[in-house]
Order: sequence, then C-alpha cells, then structure tokens
Amino acid sequence: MSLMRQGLVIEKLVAGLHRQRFAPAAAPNLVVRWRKPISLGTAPSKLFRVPQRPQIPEDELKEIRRLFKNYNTQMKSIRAWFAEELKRQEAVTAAAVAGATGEEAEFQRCLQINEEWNKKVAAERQVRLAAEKAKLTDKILTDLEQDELQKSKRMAEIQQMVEREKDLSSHYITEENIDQAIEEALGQEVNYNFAIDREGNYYHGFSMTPTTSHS
Amino acid sequence: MPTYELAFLLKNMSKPDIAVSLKRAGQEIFLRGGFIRKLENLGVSKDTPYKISSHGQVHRTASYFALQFDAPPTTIDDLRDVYKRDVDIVRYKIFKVQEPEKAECTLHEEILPPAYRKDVQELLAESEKKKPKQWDAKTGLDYYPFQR
Repeated sequence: MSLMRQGLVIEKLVAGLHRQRFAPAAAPNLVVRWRKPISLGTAPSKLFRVPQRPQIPEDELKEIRRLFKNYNTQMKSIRAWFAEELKRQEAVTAAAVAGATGEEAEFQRCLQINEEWNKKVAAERQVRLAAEKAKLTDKILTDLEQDELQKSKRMAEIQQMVEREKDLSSHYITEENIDQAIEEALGQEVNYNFAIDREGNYYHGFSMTPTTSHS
Repeated sequence: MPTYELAFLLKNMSKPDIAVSLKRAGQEIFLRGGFIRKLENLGVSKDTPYKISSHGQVHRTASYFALQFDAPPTTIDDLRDVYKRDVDIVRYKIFKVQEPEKAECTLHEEILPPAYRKDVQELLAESEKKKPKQWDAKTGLDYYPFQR
C-alpha cells in the first residue's frame, strides 16, 4: 500500500470518527466531505492571520470595470427588446383572432342549435314522463287490488281458525272439568314409542301383533 | 294466545297426591287467563334415565306428564318461576308448539330400483357432463391415427 493511499485511509477513518461525534444523526452509509464545524472556532495557529488583499494592477482593474459595464448595458438592452417584441406580437395575434373568425356569429349559431336541442329533448321528456306516470298509477292500482285480496285471504284464514277453535272449545280443559281430565289421564297411559308399517298399523314394544291405536 | 307444551316430571307419589299436584299446575295456568288443550300421562312411577336431584331430594323414579295449554306469552316467565318453585315438580320445560311441516309422501318413488329414481338419474346425467372427451371412433380405427 502506497504512502498516499495509507494517508487517505487514515483521513477517512478520522473523518468517520468526527462524524460520529459531531453528527450522529447523519446516515451511516453517506460519505460527506469532512469540514470542521463552525462551533470549534478558529484554529489557534490561524487566530492572528490576516488574509492578503488581491493586488490587481490599475490598468487591468480599469479594463475589468469597462467589460463589466459593457456587459450590463448590453444585457439590459436585450431584455428590453425582448419585452417590447413580446408585447407587439401579443397585440397582433389578439386582433387577428377577433377579426378573422367572427366569434359573436359563432356563439349565436351555437345558442340556436342548443335551443333546438332543448326543445326536442323537452318534447321527448314530456312523453316519457306521461308514460311513466301512467305506469305508476297502474301499478298502484294493481298493488291496492292485491293488498285487498291478501287482506281478504288473511281474514278468511282467521275466520277458519276461529271456527276450528270454536269446534275445539268443547274439548278444552278448564277449571270446571280439570278433575275429570286428570282422572282420565291417570287412567290411561300414552306411549309414543312405537313403530308403524305401510298400512298405518302400530307396533308397541317387542310385540309383532299390530294395533290400530297408538296408545 | 299461542299454544305451549309443558313437559314435566312429578316426584314419586301416590295417585291422589299426583292428582293434587296436577291440579295445582293447571290452576296456575287458569289463574293467568289460559286454558288447557290436552293432558297426557306418559307413565307413572317410571325409572328416570339418571338420578336427579331436585329440591334437596334425590329421585330415581318419576311420573311423566305432557300438558298442552294456551296462555298469554307475557305469563310464561311467571309460570316458569312457579313451576321451578313447586317442590313436587322434579324437572319441567315449556316449549312453543310448532305446526308440523306439511310434507308429501314420496315413499313410492324412494323404493324404486336406483336406475329408475329421479335423483339418481340426475346424478348420472351430471357425471356424464364431466367426462373428458374421448376419441370418436367413426374412422373405424381403434387408435388415434395421427401423431400426437
């Protein structure tokens, strides 16, 4: 490894150490050219150093100033010329557009077409809305009819239910006949643990002789 | 008023005592504006499937009853409370009686031989659809004549 390369490596290592010390938030992979932070102040060896003013000969200074003034003047004139040119061009194009195409006439034509379209669409809409209204009235009427039908059906069902219960009410067990019902129940045991065959006969327990009642 | 069914077990007692208990259970329903449709005795002094503890006693036999009644739905919780506290009732449960589903008898179809059953025929048609296409032998050859 050459001496120069060695020096470079040492410089990088030192720089890395300083980075860690003074700029811990910096991304670790980012290589930044090392600079002393301003907070360290001027080095003691450079504390009283006075930088030398540049020494320019008088005729050279004159020449530099002349060139500088020339440049400024020329740039100013070019800028002014461009600005004027732009203004002139804009005026010309605006006038040309307004005169040649006849914007007003075009607008009137468009307005007329638009009005025609509007009239046509309005007529179509009126027809459509009328049809829709007729359809809706039809639907409402049929719905009402259906509703009436449903109601009458339901009422018939309820009526049937009431009739059935009226018939059954003679078999209800109430306070008057509960003693009798209990006596009957205790007298006769019901057994739902049976098998049936295809003729509808009942078989209880292990017996193979069919019975016609299930209890 | 909807119809409910009360299925309950009474502890092992003499028949007159059972009658008294049954009447008490019925009276609770009448008290709340209900009526009984049916009272069924499913067996007196029968063995329980397992030993049951209730009201501080152990029961191995009980009398089984089913009681169909109509009562306002708001009173059912009341009835449950009353029957829970009745010392003669070992176990009870109140069900809502559902109308049985109407089903048509299809036994005559089900006992046909499989090939004649409609559902089997449908399954066969479905499997026929899924079969991969086979070489059509209208060429008279029993193999595919061209190089694959």
